Amino acid sequence: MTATTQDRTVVLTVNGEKVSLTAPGDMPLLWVLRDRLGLTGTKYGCGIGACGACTVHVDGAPTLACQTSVKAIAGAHVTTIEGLSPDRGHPLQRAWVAEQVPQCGYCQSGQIMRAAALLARNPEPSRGEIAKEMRANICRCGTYLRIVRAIERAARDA
Amino acid sequence: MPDLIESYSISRRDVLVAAALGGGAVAFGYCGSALALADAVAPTGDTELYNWVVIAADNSVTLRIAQMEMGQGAITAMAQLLAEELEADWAGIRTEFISIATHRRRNKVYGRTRTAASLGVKLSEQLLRTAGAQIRMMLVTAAAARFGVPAVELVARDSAIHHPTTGRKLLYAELAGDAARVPPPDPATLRLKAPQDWKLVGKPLARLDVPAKTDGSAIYGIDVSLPGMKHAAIAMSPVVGGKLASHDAEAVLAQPGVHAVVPVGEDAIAVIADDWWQARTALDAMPIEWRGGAYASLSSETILADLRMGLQAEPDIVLRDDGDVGEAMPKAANHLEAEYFVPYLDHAPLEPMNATALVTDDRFEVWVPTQVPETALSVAAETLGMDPNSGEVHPTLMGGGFGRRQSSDFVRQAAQIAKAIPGTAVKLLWSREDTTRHGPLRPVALSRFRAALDRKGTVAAWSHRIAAHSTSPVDSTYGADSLLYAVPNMRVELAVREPVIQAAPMRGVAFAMNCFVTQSFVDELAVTAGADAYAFQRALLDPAKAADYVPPSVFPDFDGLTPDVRAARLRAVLDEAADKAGWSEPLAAGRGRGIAVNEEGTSYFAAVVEVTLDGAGWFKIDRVIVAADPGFLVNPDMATAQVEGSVAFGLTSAIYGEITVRDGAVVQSNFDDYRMLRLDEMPDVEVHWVLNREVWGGVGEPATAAVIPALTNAIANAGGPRIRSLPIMNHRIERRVL
Ligand code: FES
Ligand code: FES
Repeated sequence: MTATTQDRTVVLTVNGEKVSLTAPGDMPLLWVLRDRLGLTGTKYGCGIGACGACTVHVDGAPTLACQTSVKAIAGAHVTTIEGLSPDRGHPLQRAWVAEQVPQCGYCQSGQIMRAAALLARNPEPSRGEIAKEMRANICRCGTYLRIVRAIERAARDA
Repeated sequence: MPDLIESYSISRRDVLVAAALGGGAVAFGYCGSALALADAVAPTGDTELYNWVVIAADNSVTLRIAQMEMGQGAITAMAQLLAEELEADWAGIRTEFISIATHRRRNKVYGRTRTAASLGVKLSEQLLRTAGAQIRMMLVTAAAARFGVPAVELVARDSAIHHPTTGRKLLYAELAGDAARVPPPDPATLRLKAPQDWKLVGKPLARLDVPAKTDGSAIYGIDVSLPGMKHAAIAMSPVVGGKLASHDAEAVLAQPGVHAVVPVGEDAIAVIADDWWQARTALDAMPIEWRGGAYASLSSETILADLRMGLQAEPDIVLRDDGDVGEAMPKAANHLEAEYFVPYLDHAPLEPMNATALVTDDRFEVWVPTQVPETALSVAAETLGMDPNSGEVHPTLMGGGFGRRQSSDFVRQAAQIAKAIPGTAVKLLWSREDTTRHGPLRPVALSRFRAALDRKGTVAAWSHRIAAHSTSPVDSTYGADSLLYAVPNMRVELAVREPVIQAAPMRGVAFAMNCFVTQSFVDELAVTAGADAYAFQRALLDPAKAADYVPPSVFPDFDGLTPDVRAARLRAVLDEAADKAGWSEPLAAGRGRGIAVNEEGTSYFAAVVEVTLDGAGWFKIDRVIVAADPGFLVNPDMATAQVEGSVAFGLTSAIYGEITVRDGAVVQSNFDDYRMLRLDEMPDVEVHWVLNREVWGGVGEPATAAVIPALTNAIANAGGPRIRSLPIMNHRIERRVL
């Protein structure tokens, strides 16, 4: 990698609030969220798009924040785990508690954000559809069985 | 409080201000600074009782947690144990990690803080239940004085002391001030509740840390944020033992946000910048040269060749030598030999290594996700050449530990880096590539077995030689010499080769190595004897004939249990797993079942795995059945989750886990070439508990080991190859031509 690209000013809407920030154009959204906006719920796991820990929504679509430069999404609406619901009330968040999904919890923001995008698109996913979508996100603690159960519960309860 | 590092005397609430765009985040865990060097004084209005408990004016009860949370549920389990005897109202429970500085100052009142080896519950339950009972009695004594009645007339319940005959009650908050002046009673005068009277322990209570882990508010080491904090990225010598030869700091010091370039020891260099991306980008742009060092020609091939020499040389240690293997071996009818290999593994917790340090002239503080907070403190003190009593360690939540966070290499580096800019906190974060390539690893080992079967197909002699890199049983021999099998002649030897890559225990430690090799070999013997694998294993685990041998140094130990009792317990879980799996039901062609047992200390586990070969060189795992006896369960749902997670962890090791070395450097770098099991590969897992309710064990590890040979045995049973070297991905899984 050579020197950083020029700083540029980018306007984003993050969790419903307009944010104007000056950052190197190739700076990944992940580090903007974490280090500049203090939104540390979005996690760094691999930086190469292989683990899903950094999954957020960009204009509603599940997006790997480590693979998305800020300049590429200028003007977009970004939702992070902190903005998924005001009160932990999203059906998935409730289902995550009911099924006691998290262990270390580190992957879970990304898991919930990917699952939320899935349910928004497909409110009653089959087990196969859940598996196909969620294989993008690693859980090193192995909470997979409970993730599936929680998504199915949220689909039922939503 | 004169001892505070002035500008950092912030509250937890300040730490959260950074999360300005967050939705009502609540901090979890102790991650604020900096009651640093004062004793852990409870805030005004709160009363600390006997180190462990803080009662607030609103009658909430804060429990201090001395075991580290890496996902296993330590916070909740420890809270259940402490709250049980305390008779605290579970709905009003809060928790915080202990202060390590306070722990040191108070003569280590919080017991063992090192969190490892599935020992958290086993080594804490007496301490916590006793402390809870002592504090309850302090509250009872205070209430007795206030009511003017004998203590025996009082009942503690739901964070209040009740006097049933008069219907009076006093909340803990109303009594705490008086209770704090009551000396803690002698534990010998207390009687702890019998298990059948437990209200919290043994119940599947919801984990206390789960809500914060569903909305992004849980704070891990990587999330620590302090006023004015800088960020550091690090480059380390790619070659094991290599050194930094040269670098060109000038090339990057002018880059935006970059503050300093700091050599770290002899083998690493860091860039400090305003945020991590800037630091990482500058580091990647900086010309750096390394000097190779003695291991530059090291490779997986040379390591394997060296281990093989170990198998041929005279053993360094004879661990066990029952009967006379030399005499029995040639006499037997049938012989079997096999060699097994287990590779290096990286722990790969999902949160990369990190630590945040703040150093001034005479003080230091470290915020770190660690399994060993006391070691972290001493390592930082030693690195800085400072008095350990001038430092504090704030443990944070860990994004996984698995043994990796028993090392404090990144703490040492963080201290060195922060020392370069005194008075400013610096967060060191490793990249995933750093984390994969520079961890101490679960070591490699090679095993060679030779066994003799007599005419009836029973094992007459068993010889197992291990070539490994350590004499430390945790890294080499656990699970190999403690076998309970009814084999009259058994010899287990260790050849120790010079270690090249630093070892770190990984979930399941050497059990995960030796369970694979011994349970595979038993399965091979069953096949050779023409016996059913379960029946063969069962006959070997005959309590009446259990070998009268106990390894000289075992930790976790067997709590004085005799081999016959241990064999009976292990056989009980074997039976349960086979029964629940429907072992005797026939399977279709191309399908197979495997079984394995693992005794770790006072935990007894058995696993059955069912597979289907797909006819295209691979296989599918249909289901996994685990039967387990860890004595007691603090929280059955958390324990089940631990077993489910252990299965995923073990399957990852079995199928994909392999770190290789070329030109002295680790080859793998990230999750693309160091693969993890993913959700669509996760089999159904059934967990069945068989509880002896006599001796406490652990639940976080043993299934990790047992599931590996259960899987490889199932593949062989389905007609696939006998897997003698891991990982399975290096093999083509075709049906053998018979
Ligand atoms: S951190 Fe973005 S996919 Fe892993
Ligand atoms: S809960 Fe630990 S990585 Fe998923």
